Amino acid sequence: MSQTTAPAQPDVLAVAARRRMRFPVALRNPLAITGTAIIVIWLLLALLAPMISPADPLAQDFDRLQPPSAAHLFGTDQLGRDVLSRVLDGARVSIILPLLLVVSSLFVGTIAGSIAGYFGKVADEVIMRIADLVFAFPTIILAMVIAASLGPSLTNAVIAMLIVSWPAYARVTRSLVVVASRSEYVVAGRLLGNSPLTSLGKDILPNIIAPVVVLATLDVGTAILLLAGLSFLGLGAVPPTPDWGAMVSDGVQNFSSWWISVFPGLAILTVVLAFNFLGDALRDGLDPRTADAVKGRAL
Amino acid sequence: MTSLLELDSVKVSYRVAGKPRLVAVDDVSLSLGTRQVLGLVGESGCGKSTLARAICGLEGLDSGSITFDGTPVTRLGMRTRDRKLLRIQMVFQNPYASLNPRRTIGKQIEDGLKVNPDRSAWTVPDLLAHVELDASARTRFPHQFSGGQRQRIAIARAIASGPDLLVGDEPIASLDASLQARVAGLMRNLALETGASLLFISHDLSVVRVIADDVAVMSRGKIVERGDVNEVWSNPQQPYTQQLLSAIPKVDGLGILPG
Amino acid sequence: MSVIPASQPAASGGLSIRDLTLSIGRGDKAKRILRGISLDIPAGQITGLAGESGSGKTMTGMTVLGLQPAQATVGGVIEFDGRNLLELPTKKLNTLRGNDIAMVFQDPTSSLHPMLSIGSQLTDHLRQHTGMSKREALERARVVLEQVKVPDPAGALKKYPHQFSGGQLQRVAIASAIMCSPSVLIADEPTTALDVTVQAGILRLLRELCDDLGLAILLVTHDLGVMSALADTIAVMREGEIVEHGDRFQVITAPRDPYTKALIDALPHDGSAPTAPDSTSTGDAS
Ligand SMILES: Nc1ncnc2c1ncn2[C@@H]1O[C@H](COP(=O)(O)OP(=O)(O)OP(=O)(O)O)[C@@H](O)[C@H]1O
Ligand SMILES: Nc1ncnc2c1ncn2[C@@H]1O[C@H](COP(=O)(O)OP(=O)(O)OP(=O)(O)O)[C@@H](O)[C@H]1O
Ligand SMILES: [Mg+2]
Ligand SMILES: [Mg+2]
Repeated sequence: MSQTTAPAQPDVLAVAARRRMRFPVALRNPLAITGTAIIVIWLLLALLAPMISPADPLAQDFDRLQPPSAAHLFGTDQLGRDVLSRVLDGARVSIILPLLLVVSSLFVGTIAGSIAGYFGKVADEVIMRIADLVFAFPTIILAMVIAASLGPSLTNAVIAMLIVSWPAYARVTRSLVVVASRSEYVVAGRLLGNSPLTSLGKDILPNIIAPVVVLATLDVGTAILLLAGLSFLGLGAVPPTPDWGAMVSDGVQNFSSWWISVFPGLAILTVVLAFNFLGDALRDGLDPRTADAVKGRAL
Repeated sequence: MTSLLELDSVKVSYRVAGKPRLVAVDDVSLSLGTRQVLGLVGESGCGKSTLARAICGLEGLDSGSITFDGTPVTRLGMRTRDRKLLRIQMVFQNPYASLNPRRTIGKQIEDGLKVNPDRSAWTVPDLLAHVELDASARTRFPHQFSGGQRQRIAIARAIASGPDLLVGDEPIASLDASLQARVAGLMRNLALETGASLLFISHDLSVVRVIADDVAVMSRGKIVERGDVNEVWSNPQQPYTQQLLSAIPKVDGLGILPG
Repeated sequence: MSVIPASQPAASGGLSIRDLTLSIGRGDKAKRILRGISLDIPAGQITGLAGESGSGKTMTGMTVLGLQPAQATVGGVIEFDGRNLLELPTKKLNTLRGNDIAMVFQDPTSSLHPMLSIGSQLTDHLRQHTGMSKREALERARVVLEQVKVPDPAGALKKYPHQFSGGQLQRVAIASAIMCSPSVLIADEPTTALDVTVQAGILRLLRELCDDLGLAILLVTHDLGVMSALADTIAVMREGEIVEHGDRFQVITAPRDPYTKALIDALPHDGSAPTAPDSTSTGDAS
């Protein structure tokens, strides 16, 4: 087969090392460039929102339900707020929060997975049983149930998402750690006196983290959608906080004023696509054998 | 001669799904003195690497014991290695797997230097020169090297740690004959100069003949023959040893398949 | 003893490398790893490639399969089946790899997935490309494992790569390369981890594949003994160049290049066999 799962890939380890070269190569593809550009623009907009917004996103200063015009490029909503300002400001909640969420989930999952994979035994049993339990339920429904039982608030929505998403990272990390810890360079390090923790930090994690990070990149889009979904259902951002999901929900209730939901909807679409473009490109830069690990999604 | 390493009826087995345990090393007793170079030869899969791993504390023993310089060798497991046992170092069989892909060659050789009791024994450029690699190798990463070059880097790292017992698992199998002779010579000299011992695993008797004083022949997990290397070479007692000798391809250009 | 005659000149169907260059890096800092390799690897012949450690043997083989490092610049022609492999789109190259051109890598673990059983790895590709049933494919895998002398082939199918010894894994890697009956086989140090008795079996198998199926084999090895037993012609590489290429007998007995001569002179037992063992020896020829 040499050539099956890994189309005749040389030396899994060399490829792993070569990844530092390969990511830039992968990133040269047009979709990846587009994705990165969109993400960078959105992040800038989110950071600069207070400065560049034409109006206060919370102020109900204007006539209600005005269609887009020169004064209000995206129109105004049912409470007379400027939709453009709300979309810009909403980027902070709707992009940055999911991003932080994915980072924390990655962090928690990687630590749990490393412990399970490297130390094994009881730790492995306990951690993986909990993970299995979470896996037994459909992600979105579980997140909704947890968010609902904690009460509607952004924090609770994020906690709910964290609970449902870390096990995927833990699983992937665990299986990569199990294989990596058998590597002769890890063992050679231990023979030279590395403690298990040093060995994990110095020899194991740096060599397996790439696919886990790629998985995380692929998940940002889903996390944005999930948070928007929870907010849409009233389980996330509480009014008047500007949030894209909640804004789409407002628009649905004011059906004839399309601009209220279409602009935040487009915002969600562009960001989600951008993260998926980037994630896919990064995945293509991975060694095909570790890329297998990235087939599933956390969310 | 005092013995540095003492193996007493060592047995190691592996779990295999749906089968009885596979006994890889079966009742092996062996002793190795200081400044001694012992070659270990045997067919593929007979348990040489397993025995080497057991000596380094990487496999649990089913029965028997291993003692190094008075200290019992116990399974490493999830502890930091006993300081005394740091004096045993190993060069692993697969040169592609034995270097961390994300760290420079220099850093990895320095890891070895750090455990050398005599800190000034070596410098990285010294070691690189000894294994015939360019000093510029220091800042490069493993994937930039060929199989044989990596094998030499792994040897340099092991030598850097100044071990009392160096276990080499086919350490020079990927080198051509002339380099093999030089690196084997280097390993032997180092062992003798620093008062260390060498356990040199190879499937190739003609290599072992050059480097070792004694040779042990392993077959199916057991040591079947041990003796002075030249005696075994010229007068092998066991049928398996004879087979090992007769199947060495001759370099005569005639295209005769051995065996 | 059967003396295999150095074979006839090239039949069609092999591989032809012309002026292959490869460098890594740009401008002044570029490291020239292959400096114009020209080599014919005809069908039904075993072409040996020897040379010192780091001379570019592996890189030559890798480049034929399009597996050179991502940042390398490649020039020249690799002709197979009337096409230049260097200009083939990745997709086409992917289907050639493993089907028509296979490689036994110097690192036996490199072609194996650490988390899948040997059985599924050996059969996946075959089933995808031939539509063979799982049972048929597994049976073929068992037969091939037996051919490469893996002990307990049926049991081996259920094992994972880390459960094999170094030499066993090398044989599994050989099996995986010949599973799909390629027409060109690049074998990069296929017997370094094998003891001479098993090695003899593998050498015989390679010879059979070559003679019976007309396989074109590029045999990369630093072991001149193996070379002398198996190769029809021998090329010797040094610092990215082929310094000598000729008939096996000539290269071994009357090397023209000083480097080749040095290599041969360095043999530990200067080409002579060890003292012949007693009459109980099993060392009869095939
Ligand atoms: N982790 C494992 N699980 C199960 N069986 C194993 C494991 N590791 C090794 N074995 C088996 O134990 C036996 C001895 O293996 P070992 O690696 O010690 O052989 P070796 O003498 O070093 O061979 P080689 O020369 O091919 O490297 C082999 O039959 C191998 O299949
Ligand atoms: N990614 C890379 N970047 C830079 N140099 C490299 C890279 N890969 C290989 N090299 C260099 O290319 C040269 C040829 O390597 P190659 O692996 O082909 O050698 P080889 O002839 O197969 O040697 P060996 O017998 O030791 O396996 C070596 O000097 C090596 O250092
Ligand atoms: Mg071994
Ligand atoms: Mg090579």
